[in-house]
Amino acid sequence: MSLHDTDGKTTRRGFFNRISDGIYGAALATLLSGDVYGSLSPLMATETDADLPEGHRRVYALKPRSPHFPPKAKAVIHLYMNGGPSHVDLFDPKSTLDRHSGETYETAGGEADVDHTGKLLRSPFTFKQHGKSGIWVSELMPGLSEHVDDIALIRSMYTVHFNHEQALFMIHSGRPVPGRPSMGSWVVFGLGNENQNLPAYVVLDDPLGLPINATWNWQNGFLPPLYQGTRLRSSGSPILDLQADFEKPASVISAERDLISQLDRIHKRKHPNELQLDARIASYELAARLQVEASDALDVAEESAATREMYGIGQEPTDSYGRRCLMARRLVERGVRFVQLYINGQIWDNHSSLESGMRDASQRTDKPIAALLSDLKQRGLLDTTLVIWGGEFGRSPIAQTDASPTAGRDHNPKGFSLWMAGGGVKPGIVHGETDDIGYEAVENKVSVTDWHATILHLLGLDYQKLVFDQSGLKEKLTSVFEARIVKEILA
Amino acid sequence: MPLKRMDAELLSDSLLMLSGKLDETRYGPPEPVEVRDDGMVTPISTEKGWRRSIYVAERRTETPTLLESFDLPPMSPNCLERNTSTVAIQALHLLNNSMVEKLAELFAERVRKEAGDQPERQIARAYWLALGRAPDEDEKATSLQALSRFRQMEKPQHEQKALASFCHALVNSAAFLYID
Repeated sequence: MSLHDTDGKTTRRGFFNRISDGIYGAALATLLSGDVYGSLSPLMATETDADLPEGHRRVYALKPRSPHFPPKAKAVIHLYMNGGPSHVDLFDPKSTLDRHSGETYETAGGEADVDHTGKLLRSPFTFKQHGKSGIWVSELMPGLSEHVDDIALIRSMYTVHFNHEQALFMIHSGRPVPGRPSMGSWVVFGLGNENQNLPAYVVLDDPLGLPINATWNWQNGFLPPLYQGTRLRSSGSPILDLQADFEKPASVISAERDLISQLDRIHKRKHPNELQLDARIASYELAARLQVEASDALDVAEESAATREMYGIGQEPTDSYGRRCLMARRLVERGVRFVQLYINGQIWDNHSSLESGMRDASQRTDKPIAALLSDLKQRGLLDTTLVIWGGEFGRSPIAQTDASPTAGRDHNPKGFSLWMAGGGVKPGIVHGETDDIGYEAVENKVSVTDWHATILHLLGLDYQKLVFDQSGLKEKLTSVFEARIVKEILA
Repeated sequence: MPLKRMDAELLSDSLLMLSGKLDETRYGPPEPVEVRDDGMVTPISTEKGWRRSIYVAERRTETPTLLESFDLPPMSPNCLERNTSTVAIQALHLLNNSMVEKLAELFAERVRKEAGDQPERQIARAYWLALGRAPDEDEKATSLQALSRFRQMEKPQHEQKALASFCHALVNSAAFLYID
């Protein structure tokens, strides 16, 4: 390779490539590589992963990897409820709130929240106890009410910020700032995928619109780009252009792919240490394999009419969410590691019109979610699939607008509810409590950090060992914070 | 310097420019899009071709698919920093989409018109147009070999179809997509 590029000028890239041959080659490559990763490796050729900074690998791939210890869960379905569903209207009934409704109340937020003053607002919904466990669920979720004996309900979640963007970063990636890998990325980084013909981390967002923070919610951050979420469409064709949209003989298509592959390898040799290119090559290879398996995996028409009816497919307003729940089941059935479902915008963000807003949001999602739990259970998948329901924070017992029927609630980071089912979670229990009006988590509090550590634990991953060195800092999903695994909800 | 992948609009407009189908009319009302049953969204052409992506009408639910796959930011509410994703969906789009294929064919016609019939000159011209440089020795050798392989496969009109296949592969390659 010439020192000069075709214009006759020396490029930096040309220079470094030239001197990376010969006696200085290995050392320089290591030094440069060390510089890229922010820590200097010893001046030896890196033969094994052990010589690299912690968590780094010579080759990043999505082949299945063993967890740190035997797991209970093999896959995750994350039913993300953007906007912050109101816990006092769904899972956390408060008779004190009912009795004092209309009275003025003041809260001092502290670090996570702003101060609130206003009138307490009782829940307009009726609560009942359900199942053998007697867990309270409001009238909004008749479907879930049939499944309380399958879930572990955490009433004492709390987070660190009262605003959506920051709280979303926190709940997805462990700190209230952008640029960090999402939970799904960490999980597939740690565990790979069971099915090499499908993406490892699938995002099924709502055709009606992206959530707040849009595609940031499923990004790989500083982890290799291979581990980002792949969005699949849930209306129309899930993957467009899965097959060639034009007439061309298969032999020609195959020859074209070969050429692309060859050109890309030449390009990659000229650009060492560019993980984007590895991810790109992997994406082309996956594209080829997707053509084999994806259309089948996402074809809900293959399911029986009874199944589709159970999920609410073909009915409104459950059709869209129902499709996605059914796709999620089909994907984990075929070995996909992490599936995230989103709803559009933030339908749970009921600053006003609490009653109608929550009814709408529940009606779109409750039946499909209940169907998903039934379906997973019936197919023997629930034991190894961790299903998670929740949003980024809860809502305030104080009315934001108190005039009925448009009364609503502001955000509440200090206490919210979240449930998990399957995948090694103890079924039919409630963990933790908020204060008597549902403002603040007070008993057996669970931070987002604790929750992340617990999820990793269920997957057989030690949150302290799932590490990726970033400039000397051993980065983890839980960042630098101490975590407590919530042993009480482990089966 | 880390490589930078082309932004969505840059990719789309580059493909149009290579094919000679970029309608450079400025200003005026936006161009509508067409939405297929399966959800594919493409901008509708004018007589001269397609206008730059900046002139395509942006509706939240009808973002042109090519732009969306390559991280055109959704502007609701706004975008602080553009994302760069690398997913199989993008690969599938460039490989299998009929509009991309058509543009590659037109690109090949332009290459033929400008460089003549000789494979070496065609390859050099394609590289200059798409990548702004000449192919290096490895690229030249690989491309020539591929072109001759394509020629043996495509009959009749095998020469032009072979060149089109080469051009299609070139706009799918990392060297095109990533700016050095």
